[in-house]
Amino acid sequence: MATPEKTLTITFFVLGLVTQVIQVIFIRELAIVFRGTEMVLAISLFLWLLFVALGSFIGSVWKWHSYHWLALLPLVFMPFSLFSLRSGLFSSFFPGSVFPLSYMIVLATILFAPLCLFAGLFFATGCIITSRITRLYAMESAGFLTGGLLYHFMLNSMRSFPLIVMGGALLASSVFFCFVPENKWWPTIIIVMALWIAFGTNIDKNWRRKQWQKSAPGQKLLEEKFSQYHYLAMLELDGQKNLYIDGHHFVSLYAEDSHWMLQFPHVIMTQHKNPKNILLIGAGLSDFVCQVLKYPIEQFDYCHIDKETINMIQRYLPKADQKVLKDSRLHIHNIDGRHFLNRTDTKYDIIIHLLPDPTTGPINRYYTLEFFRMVEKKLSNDGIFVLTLSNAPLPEGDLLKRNALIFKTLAAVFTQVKATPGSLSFLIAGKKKSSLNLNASHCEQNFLERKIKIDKQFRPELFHLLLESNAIKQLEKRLLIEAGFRTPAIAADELEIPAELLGEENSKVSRHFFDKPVQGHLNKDSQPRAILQSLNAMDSTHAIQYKVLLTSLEKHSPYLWPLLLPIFSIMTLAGYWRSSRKIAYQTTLWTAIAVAGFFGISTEIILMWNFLQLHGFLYSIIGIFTAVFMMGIITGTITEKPAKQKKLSLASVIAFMALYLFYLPSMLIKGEMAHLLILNFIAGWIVGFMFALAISLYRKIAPKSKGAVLYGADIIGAATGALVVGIFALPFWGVGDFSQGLAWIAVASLLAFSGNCFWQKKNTNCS
Amino acid sequence: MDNHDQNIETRRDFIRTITRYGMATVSLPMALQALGFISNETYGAIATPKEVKFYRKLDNKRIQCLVCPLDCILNDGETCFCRTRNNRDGVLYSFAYNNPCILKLDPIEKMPLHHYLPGERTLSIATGGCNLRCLYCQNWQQSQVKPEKLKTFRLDADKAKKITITKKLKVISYTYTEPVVFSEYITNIASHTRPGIRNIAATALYINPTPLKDLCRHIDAFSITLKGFSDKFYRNVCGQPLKPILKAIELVKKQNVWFELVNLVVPTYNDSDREIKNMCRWIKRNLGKDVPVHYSRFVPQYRLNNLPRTPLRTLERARDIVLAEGIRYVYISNVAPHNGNNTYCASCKKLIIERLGFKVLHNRVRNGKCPDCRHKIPGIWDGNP
Repeated sequence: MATPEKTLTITFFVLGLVTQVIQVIFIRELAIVFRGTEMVLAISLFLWLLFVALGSFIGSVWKWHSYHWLALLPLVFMPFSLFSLRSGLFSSFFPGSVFPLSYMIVLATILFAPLCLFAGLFFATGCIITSRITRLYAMESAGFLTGGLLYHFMLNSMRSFPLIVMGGALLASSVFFCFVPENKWWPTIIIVMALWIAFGTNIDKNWRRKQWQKSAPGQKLLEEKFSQYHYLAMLELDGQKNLYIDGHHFVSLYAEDSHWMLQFPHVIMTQHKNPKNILLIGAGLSDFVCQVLKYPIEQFDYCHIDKETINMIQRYLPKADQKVLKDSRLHIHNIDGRHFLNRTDTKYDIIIHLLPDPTTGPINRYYTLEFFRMVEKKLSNDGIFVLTLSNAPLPEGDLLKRNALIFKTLAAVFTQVKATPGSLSFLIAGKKKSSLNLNASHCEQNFLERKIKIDKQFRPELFHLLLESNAIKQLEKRLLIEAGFRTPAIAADELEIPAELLGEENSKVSRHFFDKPVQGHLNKDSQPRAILQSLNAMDSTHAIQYKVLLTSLEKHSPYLWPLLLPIFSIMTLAGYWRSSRKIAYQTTLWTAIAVAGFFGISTEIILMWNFLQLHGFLYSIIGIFTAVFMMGIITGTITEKPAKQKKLSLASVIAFMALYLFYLPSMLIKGEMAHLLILNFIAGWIVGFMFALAISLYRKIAPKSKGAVLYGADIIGAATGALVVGIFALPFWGVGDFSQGLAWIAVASLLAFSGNCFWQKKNTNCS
Repeated sequence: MDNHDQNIETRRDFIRTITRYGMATVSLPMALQALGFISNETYGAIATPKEVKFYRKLDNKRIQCLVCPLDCILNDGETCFCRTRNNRDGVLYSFAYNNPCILKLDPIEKMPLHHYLPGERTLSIATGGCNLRCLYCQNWQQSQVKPEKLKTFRLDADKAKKITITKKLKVISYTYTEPVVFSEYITNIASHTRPGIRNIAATALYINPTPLKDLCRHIDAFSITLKGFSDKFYRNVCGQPLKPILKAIELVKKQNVWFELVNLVVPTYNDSDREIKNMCRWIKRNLGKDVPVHYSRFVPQYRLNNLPRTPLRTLERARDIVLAEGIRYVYISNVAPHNGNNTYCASCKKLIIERLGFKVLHNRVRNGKCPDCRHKIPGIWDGNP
């Protein structure tokens, strides 16, 4: 197959560009269907990389001479995959429910397999055609970089269908041009695809309508669009407007309705003697804000990062509420709430956040010890802080565990914490001792004293309904027991009657809150345990069936590193048991590269996580992070060439990787974007440099071998990293312990490689 | 060995190694389980299981549970679909017996029962387990779990009686989860506490006729959830067919036990005008016009947690349809304040019980009659046994 290397490298550049753009589009589409948690991201990345690795292995084993035809595979199958995802072709699910994880894996496989398998196969083909594998790797990375930037600055608001067709057509044309330049297939492909693109927008809109008909039948789609941060859709059902953000029901708007969102503001406002400055983060623009503005407050700051979301809500609000929002005391800030809080000098009497449960990184950062400390500093001396968590009339199991974790984390910062019962629980924390009182009569009296206008939606008698004393006490007891503050309850305690009456075995039940000091795990920025608890709770509701594994891993997490180390070490030393010395050596190279892949993706995720904690958004700048990492890889592959002592260099760079990991947690303290990008670039450089060195060494011992095997090892390592870090490594160990553990794996890899080199040298000298 | 062969061996070796370690990784959780690292944790102290009344013995220690229309056939060691009954050596035991996971004081309106001792407080008791699989279950954390996996309290009938005396309660209610699955426990408490204490149950009534007749002898009032009126909805969303439930409701009517019907309106699932009309025509035909019917608002729960709450207009529309069809007492629950919470006299249309959600604000009913027109209001208004 005589193919000029120049056209081949250009094709690799196109491959990188197209795969990067389509990866982001597919993950975006999956997140809409599966309500984008980190688990979606982790599994998507894992499957993506796994199929690339699989393609690469197949390509290195299977001799195929007309690869260019396979370029049509993604072009034909990607639109079909997108259609199947949106129309729920292979599913029988219930509207309003979430797909099980197994179905997500099936759909992600259908989505990713055509393109990823081709990408892997094509890399293997490239390795057969040219000896300059490093150059191909660098060009593909340059394509990733360009794709990331292109998506970030130009393509993120465009519709998915035309984009994937355009990407598929570009890739197919490029491959045909590379392999059969004499043939005139490619202009035909371009013309056909141009027609598709011309009609693509309408097709995409039509498919999107189908998606909503399937996932929300009976609801009328009024408007849908991609904002900088989210996919927004406004639907209507019997006069009620329902806003969905990234496929997740966010808020319902209806004139003169009566529900908790209209009633609980009064509970909160009566917890403070005279609130003047209020800050609200998250939802609640429609009903919550309108109720709070009935009080004689001076300033009401409202934070929501996405301007488009605010605009869309305002467009569909009932007219009466639209008028209220023009109140001069209300200031809307389109900024991340945590970022706003960090910058503001105002002292607030009440800070509230109405956010979804902490199932994702961006949300969890509002439920952490660090955030609560920040809130505490910005509160006035008698200020209160309020947050919401989904609850049950009588919470049990994982839901209770998660809520107790947040309760405990609040108790570590505030002197008093209370919780309200119901399907949605308000956790109210007071800075001053005994400042909170959830007694219904007390609240009613406070409300009446302030002479707030009574309307159809709220009457003071409702306090007795919202704040049922028995239910409050039971919920608090359950939370205190689960959080470890109190001893387990008995029947008599549950109903507040003397234990002797029922002859309870254990009557020594403590009677006071916070009998014991706060101890055990708390939810932190660097160790987001609430995400894990929320995922477990989701598993219970959606029968995803990963809970058994997660809970057992959580239980035994302190022993996992010692378990993982021998596994990696055995992998690195596996070759020693083989007869061939070359195989032993090759095994250490593969392992070193797999560790590099694992390190690369893990570091990238940790750095992005750190950015997210401080700045509150990630998805819009994910392209920049990927681009900088890819720049690092390219630089690494270029700088490898001058290195003469290849083995020594490889050993040194593994040692450098270990050092980098040991010091990573302390280097993350500042967390400025430039700082994080430099660290990201260095991580990319390590991976690129290691890959190039390993290829050189591998070629020396197996000149005719296909570097695709090493590429596959790199990708397998990265896939494992995506899965491990994305799902449980951060919640279990936190950034600090995880980096240290990873560093020890690097040390194990270094020892295996060095030992092997030494052993090989010794044997050569002997012979 | 030349380089080419070397490479093939290398690839095979690599794939083999990867497969080996991949399998090792996958089997790790299993190994951990085998070594006892992962265990199916059991909470609480489970009281001694009680032999169930309604079952029959088959061959080889196999038995058939006869409590609900599922008629589960169980081999030795197997548990019923409801998760509460287990076959041990050919004898069917209830694990829910004396093991409530919920003990709570509630207003009777919460069941909901609006025509039965309004304003009375009850001792609510519930155990784990349920014989339905509703996708929107509000108490799924208890109903979809085995009793032995929950934190339970040891509470026998004597203790339950002591609580009602101490707390000065006139009613014990079996609610939150499905009372049918702990019917042995209910009949035991009821026989210890009646007639001084009333026993009521909030149930979906998926039960066989014989155990239902037995239950009716111990229960004073039912709040029956008729979840929809299409078999498709029942099978898809609740996991069981509709027909046995309709038959059971008719049987309760024949047994002369007071009952009220509840329908949770799930948006886009069971909210069509046609379904609502069909349901109320069936009620009128088989149960009469005086059966109180409650339309309750759905709030996102359990597996249907990505649906919006039921629009207020849908609930008001349902109420209007049913009133127009001739049912006399129709309520809207889970929305407060709302006129649909109140009781109006079917004759003079005047307000006779004013409610705010579950709270009774004013009760003007005198001797079971409207104070204005003396029209008899159906229900049980006198708390004396």
